[in-house]
Amino acid sequence: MRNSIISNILLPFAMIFSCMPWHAAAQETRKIIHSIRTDVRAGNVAKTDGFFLGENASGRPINATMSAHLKYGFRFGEGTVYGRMYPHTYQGIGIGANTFFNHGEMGTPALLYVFQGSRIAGLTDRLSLDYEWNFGASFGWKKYDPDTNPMNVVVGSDVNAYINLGFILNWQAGKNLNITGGIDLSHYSNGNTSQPNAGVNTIGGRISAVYTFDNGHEKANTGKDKLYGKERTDCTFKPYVSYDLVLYGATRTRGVEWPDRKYLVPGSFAVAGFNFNPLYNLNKYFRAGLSLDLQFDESANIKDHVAGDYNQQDQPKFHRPPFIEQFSAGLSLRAELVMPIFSVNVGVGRNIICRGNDTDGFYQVFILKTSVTRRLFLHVGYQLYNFKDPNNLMLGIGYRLF
Amino acid sequence: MERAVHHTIRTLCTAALLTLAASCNPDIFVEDFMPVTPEFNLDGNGDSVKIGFASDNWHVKYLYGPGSVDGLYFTVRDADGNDKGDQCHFEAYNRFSAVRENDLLALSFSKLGPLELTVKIKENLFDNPYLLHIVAGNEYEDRDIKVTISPSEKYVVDNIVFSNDIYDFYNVRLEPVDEILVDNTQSAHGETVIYRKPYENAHRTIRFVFDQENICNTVKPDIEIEVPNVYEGKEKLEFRGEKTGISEREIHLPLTFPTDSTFAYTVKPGIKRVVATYLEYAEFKTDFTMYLSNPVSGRKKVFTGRLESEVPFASFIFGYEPTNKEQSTAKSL
Repeated sequence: MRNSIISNILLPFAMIFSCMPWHAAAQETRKIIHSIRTDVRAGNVAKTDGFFLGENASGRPINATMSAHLKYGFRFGEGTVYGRMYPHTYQGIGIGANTFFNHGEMGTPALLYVFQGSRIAGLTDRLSLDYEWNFGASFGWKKYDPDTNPMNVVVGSDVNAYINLGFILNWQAGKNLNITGGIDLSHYSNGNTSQPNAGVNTIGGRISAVYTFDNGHEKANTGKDKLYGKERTDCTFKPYVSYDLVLYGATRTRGVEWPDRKYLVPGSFAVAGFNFNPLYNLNKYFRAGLSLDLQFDESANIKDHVAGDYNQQDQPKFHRPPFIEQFSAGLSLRAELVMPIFSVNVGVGRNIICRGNDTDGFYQVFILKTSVTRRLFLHVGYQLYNFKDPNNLMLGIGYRLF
Repeated sequence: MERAVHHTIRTLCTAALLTLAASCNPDIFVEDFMPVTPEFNLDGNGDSVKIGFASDNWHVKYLYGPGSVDGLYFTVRDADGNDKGDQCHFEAYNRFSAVRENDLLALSFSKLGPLELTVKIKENLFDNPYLLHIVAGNEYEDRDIKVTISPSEKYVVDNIVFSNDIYDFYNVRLEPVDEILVDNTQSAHGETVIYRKPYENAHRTIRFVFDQENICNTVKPDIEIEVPNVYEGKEKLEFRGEKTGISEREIHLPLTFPTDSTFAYTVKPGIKRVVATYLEYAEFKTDFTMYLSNPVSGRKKVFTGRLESEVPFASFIFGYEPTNKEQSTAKSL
């Protein structure tokens, strides 16, 4: 899990922010507007497991959570195409530290993530309603251990993904200073790469101070501008169809349940998939379409292919199921929020070609696409089954055809 | 710059794919050496079958027949032809052949390659199809392969050679036939003559005592052979056309002389007499060797044993004064 998250998510983002052509292009035309942000967040831990209700070493409910964050952000200036298309959108990278006031069993994880936010609605000249999402990794959890941490049945790895969504009021207190505050939802889990994986969910509030450097000094560009060699004289958006081709992989764990025995199969299994997703780009913020989703899961339906009698073996072995029991082809409806650099894609689908209980069902996907070039993007996603059963991560790359 | 980005992406993808490949879980999976367990029907007259396996992670464990899961014993030879003795479990042998030649089931099987087991039936002398179970497996699972073997052709007797020597000859054994109480006390002058047929219900009794088992399952049921006898109580073996079937049970043969011969006995007037009828038997034993062959397979068998015989050759009728008990229990005329 540690290697998956670090190598597949964070390194590419570091590359993006230092090397990407849109960055250079923006600097050639107009400034990038930089900012420093500090957050303080506090909240409640959702009681999704008995561990939080008091079934832990201290015997007390785990209620509260608190975190502090330091973030570097930037937005594109008005002289850039992105700046004109997405004037209120900001993105960046942040670090933080989170406590659950139970260091002995949960630890005090550190956070490293990317974030993006934008305006939902302007309320007054100085007040707006914004949203912001964070996505990254959290390190330093204390995970389940049958000897040293037997009651923590919610965290199965010392590195977990970190997902956050906030709805905040943004008040421009001064020319370079903004104060924000709002509600905050966070989720921590390992994407079914380790067990247990019940996950940690929090809800609370946040308050932030944002200092923007050189805000309002950059000039508006009324002339021609170039981005990726295309000349854009204005920001008029014409709807069009694009085609996303995605190739992804991941590892996952698998537990099997027989009528008289539950067994967590040792080790990890491979998952690989391909998506073909035509999307109708309705406007600069939104596109939607139907996706053909093909996936192979090495662990699917192994429960039905035990070698011998599972009750006669401490560690049962399995036969590899037929390909058709581990392969699925489905169709999903996708909707995508499009922003500079990042797009958030959600989908609901159903496997059409499948065999066996593990692949026969409805699935849901949540994906963050990170543009690397105009056509290439990184693909970080997660798949659920039946709206509740974690299935697998979806880490890969995509290519967009126009 | 874009080339550098593409190179970076390619490197990351390669690293991800390698990570994925290394993450596959080979220790959890074992090959299924027999996804579908076959069943076979073989002809007991020399049929054979090659049983195929999908992978090489299996051994022949044991074989068993109907009615018991105890393993059948086979004489085992390894791939180099070394005799490994009689075994009923075969997990220790990777390449070997095994033969079973005793009693009514003769077959062989061999595992000379990793994906194949050859079974050859030599004969099934049971009267019904024989359900053979071949248990093959590994440390995780077994497969019970059923092979139904139809009965093979029974043997015919080519020749039976009796020894010229007889032993345990004895010709003075008397066996009572019946006793009748004749009360002639009421007659002052008349004699009472009674007539007896001592051989009326008599027969020759023979037994074949075989050194080997299962002769009855081996030979055709309608086989007849000529057996020798001693005549007139003389210690001399002769063939006079007496024929019999083959059985491991006692066989009753008819006597070679008329059995309705009648003999008279006179009881004088005024007396009671018990008239007793006896037969005198001659007994003997002689050894034989029986040569059998199978008309379909050509296989030959040799059975040895001894013929035991007892035959009546003389009768006696005599009377005696009855005791008080005999007066009340003896059959009265």
